[in-house]
Amino acid sequence: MTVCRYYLQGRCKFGSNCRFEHSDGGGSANRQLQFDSGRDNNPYKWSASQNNKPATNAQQCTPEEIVNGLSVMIQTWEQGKMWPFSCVALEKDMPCIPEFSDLSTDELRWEAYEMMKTSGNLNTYTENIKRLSNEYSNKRQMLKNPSASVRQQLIDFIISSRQNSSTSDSKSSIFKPSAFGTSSTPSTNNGISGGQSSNNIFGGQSSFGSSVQPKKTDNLFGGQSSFGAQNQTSGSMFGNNNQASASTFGGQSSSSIFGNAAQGSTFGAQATGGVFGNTAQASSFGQASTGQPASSIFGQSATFGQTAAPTPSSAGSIFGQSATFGQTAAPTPATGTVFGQGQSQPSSNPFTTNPGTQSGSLFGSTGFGTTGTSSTGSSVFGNSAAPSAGLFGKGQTTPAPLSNTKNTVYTPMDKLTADEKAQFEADHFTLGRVPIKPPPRELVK
Amino acid sequence: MTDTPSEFKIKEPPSDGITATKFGPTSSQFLLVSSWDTTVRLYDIIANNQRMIYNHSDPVLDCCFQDSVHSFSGGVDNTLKMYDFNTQSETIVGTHDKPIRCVEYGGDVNVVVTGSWDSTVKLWDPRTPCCAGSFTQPDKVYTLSVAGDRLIVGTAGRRVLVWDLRNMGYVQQRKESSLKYQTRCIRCFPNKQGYVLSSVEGRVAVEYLDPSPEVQKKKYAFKCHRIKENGVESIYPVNAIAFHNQYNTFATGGSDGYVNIWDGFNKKRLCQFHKYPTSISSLAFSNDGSVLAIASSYMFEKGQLDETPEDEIFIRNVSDQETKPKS
Repeated sequence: MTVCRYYLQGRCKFGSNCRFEHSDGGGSANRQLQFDSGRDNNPYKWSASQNNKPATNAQQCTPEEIVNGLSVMIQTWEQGKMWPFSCVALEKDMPCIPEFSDLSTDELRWEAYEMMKTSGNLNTYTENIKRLSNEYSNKRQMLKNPSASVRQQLIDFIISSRQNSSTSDSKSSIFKPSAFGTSSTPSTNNGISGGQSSNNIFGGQSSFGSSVQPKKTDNLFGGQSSFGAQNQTSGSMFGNNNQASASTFGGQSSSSIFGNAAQGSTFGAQATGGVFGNTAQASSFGQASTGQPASSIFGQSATFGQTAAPTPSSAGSIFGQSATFGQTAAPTPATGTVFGQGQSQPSSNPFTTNPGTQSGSLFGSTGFGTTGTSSTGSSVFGNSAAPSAGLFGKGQTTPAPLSNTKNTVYTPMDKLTADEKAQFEADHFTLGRVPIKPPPRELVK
Repeated sequence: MTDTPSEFKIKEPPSDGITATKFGPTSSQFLLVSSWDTTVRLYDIIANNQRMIYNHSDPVLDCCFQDSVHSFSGGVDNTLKMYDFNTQSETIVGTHDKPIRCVEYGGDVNVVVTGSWDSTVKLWDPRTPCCAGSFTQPDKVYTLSVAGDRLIVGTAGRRVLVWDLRNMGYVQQRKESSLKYQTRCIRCFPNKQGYVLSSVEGRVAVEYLDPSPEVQKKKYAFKCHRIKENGVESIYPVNAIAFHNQYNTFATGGSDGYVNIWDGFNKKRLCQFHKYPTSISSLAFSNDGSVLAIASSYMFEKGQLDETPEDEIFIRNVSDQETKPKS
């Protein structure tokens, strides 16, 4: 049966009485309900017939249909003169395609503002915008006319996204500490990239417990790891689950911060009474930290749990080339400017790439009033310097060679403010004034 | 646009883009406005004059009242400031690593919430004032809304997170937006049953917080703020959403320059106002729902125009006819 072309545009006036087939590329029109103003003749008519479809979720389109519908979707996007720098999802409630990262109007305006401040003119900004527009336009073209391999990758992506969301309890899954183990399993090694499974630091294991997202941070369009040079190093960290065990993090498996990946509770979901004094149900790693005094070291910020799903968009290398725009990932917090190419790490601490993860310094210090599990800073990172950078980073970190870790984890003394220094020197942190920067090596006891 | 008793323009509006307009919690007399001209201004809309003004060092992206005496604001200077209207003094409360995009006050919990492009949400105790916690989000924070003790955060990459302000130890709900494009704005229903989410694609979704399947089935999305010309439909981002506290109806404002009022439960559009000079960047209902503040401010969605439209704020006295559900 022929597909109704008005339905594809979302404006079929016959609704379910239409003689043509109503199936769309993305499932979104299933819930398209148009409002009735009652009086004036407006295009937004309410079609109550839409309500009669029960469990529309069951009538999902096949991935092939979705990919086929992409051409119309992109065309609508471009013809409608929609905001070009938007992320894209193929189905509602599903994660975005990694290649497209989000940039809002305010962010671009901020960029322009900063450029004006520094250079007094908008020439660089205009060039950057042009370049950005072209990049996005190219990406859209890839979706509009996908090559066979891109098609296949898109289809794989859709399938894996659906799998991941169905393994969680519901679309809006309630985060459970044990989610680490459960949701990750089906999502391992989808081979979207066709590369090593270790490519997905976050995807393969969903180790950060975001049970909904598959976080296939691998780019769809290329074959390379989304983490660029992180490949090898990150692989060693997570590629072998067995290896990513307690030993790396300096503790016995039972009380290890990270538990044992093999058990599926990678990040201390059961790190009860672990080094960091987690409460039984809420692993500090898995969730945002609370502002609780003393016991929560993460007084400042959630760490891994929240950063579980780094912007997949940020990590993509575009279409198989070495990461350019994708790697710099304009929107990620790591880079200094939206359009910067460089991986400018403002501070020497690799963990600052993950803005909230200042607690990376935890590993090196006992200054947080915990039990002395923290082996000397270097040993914690001795083996894992680079991988840990990849662990917490969003793939933006330039892989720091092992030897650099000591230099990059701690803040140099002279970079601390007086208040921060006082905090580090004190026996306990004062709530509300816990420093965000990691402590200096000298003050690590 | 001529002033009428029902709608008039504010005198002395900001000199650059308007980022937020907020009414005071108790009276509809005072309106707080933040702008790209780095100012935060307090207007008396009954007398139609500017009462107070203070500055940040860089453009201000959001502001809110804590009570009738204190306001909070933050922006490109990464700094959250508190201002006391009685003493006319500023206090620097804290900072983020990147611009602060959202500032909201949660009255039930007595906490100020900020969301930033550094991907964190921070809570602040207004009494001291000091930071009460920093919570990493999966991506840059674009919008957030507080309803009772729940905090809903919308980030880049279409992520939506629901937090319990009384227990920030873990995320209550984590999901992807049901719209396929960039999230622009999220606002909670005053009855706290759910929230409305808008995207850059001229579409709005109504979602519910109760995760049970029967309730989740009720969620839906609809298209709006699109203009059909010569057979081609132009699609505009929906920048602003504001709820009427009593009726739970909501207004949306888009870059098409229109403001629509919707009844979310009956799925009807109640009203559409006349076209405003340019994109609607912010909307705010007064607490009693009698006044709607409409900020008409070009947001450079289409790049630099030959003539940048003026930034204006319209105060409209709205009637039940326009805002009350019909059934």
